[in-house]
Amino acid sequence: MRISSKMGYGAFTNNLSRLTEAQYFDTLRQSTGKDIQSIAEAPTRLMDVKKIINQKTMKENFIERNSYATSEMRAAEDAASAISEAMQQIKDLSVQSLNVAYDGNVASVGTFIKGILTDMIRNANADFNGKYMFAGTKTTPNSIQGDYPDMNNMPFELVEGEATADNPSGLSVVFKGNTDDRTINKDGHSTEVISMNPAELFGPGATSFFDPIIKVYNILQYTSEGVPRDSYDTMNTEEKYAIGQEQSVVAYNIDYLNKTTANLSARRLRIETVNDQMTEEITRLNEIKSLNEDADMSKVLSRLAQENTSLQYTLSAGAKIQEFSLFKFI
Amino acid sequence: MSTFSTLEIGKRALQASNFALDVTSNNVANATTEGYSRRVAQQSQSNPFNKYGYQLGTGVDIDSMRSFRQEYLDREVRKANANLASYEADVNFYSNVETILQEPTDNNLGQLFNDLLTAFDDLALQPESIGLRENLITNTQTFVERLNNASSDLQAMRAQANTDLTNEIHEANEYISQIVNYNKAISISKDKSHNDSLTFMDKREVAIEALSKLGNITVTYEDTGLANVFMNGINVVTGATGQTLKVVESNNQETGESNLSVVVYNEKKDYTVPVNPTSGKIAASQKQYNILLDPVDTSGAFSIMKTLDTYANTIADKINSIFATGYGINDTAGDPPGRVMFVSNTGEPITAGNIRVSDDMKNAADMPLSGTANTPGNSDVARAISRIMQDGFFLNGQTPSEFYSNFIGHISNDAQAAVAAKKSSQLVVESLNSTRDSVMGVNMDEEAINLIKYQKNLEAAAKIIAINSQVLSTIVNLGK
Repeated sequence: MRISSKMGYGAFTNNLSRLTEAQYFDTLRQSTGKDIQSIAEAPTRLMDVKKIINQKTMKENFIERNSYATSEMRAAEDAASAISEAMQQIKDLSVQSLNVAYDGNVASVGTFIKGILTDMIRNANADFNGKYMFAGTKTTPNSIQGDYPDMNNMPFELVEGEATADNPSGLSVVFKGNTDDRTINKDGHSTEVISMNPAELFGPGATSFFDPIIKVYNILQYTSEGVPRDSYDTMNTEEKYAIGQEQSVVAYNIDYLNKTTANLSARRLRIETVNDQMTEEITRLNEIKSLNEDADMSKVLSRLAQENTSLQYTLSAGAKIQEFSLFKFI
Repeated sequence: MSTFSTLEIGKRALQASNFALDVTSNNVANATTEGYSRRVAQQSQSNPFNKYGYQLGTGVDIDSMRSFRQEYLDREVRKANANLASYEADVNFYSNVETILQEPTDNNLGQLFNDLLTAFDDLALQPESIGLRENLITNTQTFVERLNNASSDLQAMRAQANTDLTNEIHEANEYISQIVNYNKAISISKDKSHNDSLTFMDKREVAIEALSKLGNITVTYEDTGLANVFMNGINVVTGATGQTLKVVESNNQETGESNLSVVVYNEKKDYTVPVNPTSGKIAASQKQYNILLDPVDTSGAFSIMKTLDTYANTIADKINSIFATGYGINDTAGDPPGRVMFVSNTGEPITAGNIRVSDDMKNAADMPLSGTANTPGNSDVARAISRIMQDGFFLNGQTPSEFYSNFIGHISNDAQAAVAAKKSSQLVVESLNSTRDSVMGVNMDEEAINLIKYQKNLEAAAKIIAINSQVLSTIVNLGK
């Protein structure tokens, strides 16, 4: 083949251009650790990586949110346990007041029970990160409005109304939230209720569990004529019977509340199980993503070394193009 | 034959060697000149005369000067040039698109939309959180700005394609004019084989090749040496007459679509003939303007701009329709206020270019995330929107993420095809250029040898004259 002077320069320029381009992209691979540096390189892998990243990010977000939700559920469980313990305490005090050997002040037991009831209300109004946990979907103070101007903006309130024959203390618990469930998407396909329904926690109307407690309080605090008891004023048989009846209702309610709490725990465990599954899936997705996206450093580095060597020789060869020509000798 | 015949032979030899030295020097001088085809001086014996019954030579004549240009290789180079130019333009185009869409990075539009839907999922957990609502508005604003920027950058690219096309047509007209001028110069050639017009022919070929990078052309040569050039089958140069290419914009009133065509006027200049080359830079610019970046393209081919607009419109439509059923934190009763998240800047249907965050979102508390009034903890709307992420019927039977991945995949496939085609075309062009150079290129060693050869010839011819001069002196002195 006849070789013209220009041919050598053309081949030199083209090789130089290819080598520097290859070197540029391999340097980028080395510095970023990513194999795909341009959309034109590997369309199928690029699409796969995008889908994997999307799935991975989605799962990571679900895990994060689920963790937050389970924290809230744990807080709700703790508050419910505290309420359950308070009810148990009330029940125990009720039973204690029936004890024939009991010679204490009946009215003071009633006062003690009222204090515990107030604690129960405080726990029922518990919030998590500023959000009421047992008010259904009325989670903020602004969304909670009492019937009376002097009522507070909390979901549960112990109010003292007009005394009646049935309720000489006039005490009642008012619920200002609603009984709607709060639901989250726990993964891409399913939802989970993360709230404890107040109607399940405190019975129908979200207040009925307080009624036997108030009744016990009334019996302990007032005589059957509705008059406040004096010190060492003892209960009659009918009152004791009534206390016995109400404490058994409280006992039943405690069981019910505990079941509701257990149900919440079960839901929390389901979310945690989903989180564990998603964590494993993320590990697998990371592996697939890495296979598709990450640069094989040993290959990149050995290629870079080859490219450097080639470039040196190309440059050296380029400098020698036409170095020797007959013109040099004539 | 006279006494001076040897002197005549010497003179012819001197002239021939001198001419050959000129030709060789010209080859050396133009060794790297684009389009130059090496020349050789064709020498032959001059006519003999009879003496003593023998034919006695009268020296050497310069017959002609030939070049080594090969029409077949020129034709193949032109074809390959057109393909390479369009693939190069495609590669540059996709490289710009890659930058605009911030691919392949994790900060792409698809990811931003996922972040937006994730923010809705965060709110599904805490719909009453003003902080998270503010965060969602920020995410939305970021997403909208990215859509606006991508759209505006793509529109700028479309405007650039228009400018490029105008410049390319201007350039093409320059080349057409040059070809016509060289044709004219060649037409006044006295040599039937046009060996006296080799320089013009080389220069014309350079202009033709430059034109071939702009559009697919074919060339026919007349016996007179004139070249006729056809772009996409339409005659743009006929001998000494050239056509003027023009860019014409056509607007479809019904669809609002605007297309750019390349045309020439017919002879009477009463109507235009479409040229629209199928390869070369002009074709690439037309494809970019008329299809790839056309927001209302009706050709049915893949349009980046149209797909992006459809994506933005669907997102806005899906979220707005769910939003309209929701209540904000302060909505305590009544029907849903019908707030929307996205509106159009222009009043026209929402596109990536005109989408903006609705004024309804100015107050974070107004964001309608609840399915019922006065229930700030209700997140039915937020959850429904976050569920869009898994909506298999979001667009074309795909989820948003699948749609976006496939959108980028389409661009990526086209970019890969362009890169591959560019590489193979480049190899073809390099190979053809190399083959052509091996035929018509200058080889310095050959030229050096020729220089020595013709220099020695010149010296010998001069010697003939010197000796003949001495002979003549001897003859003249005989009579003294």
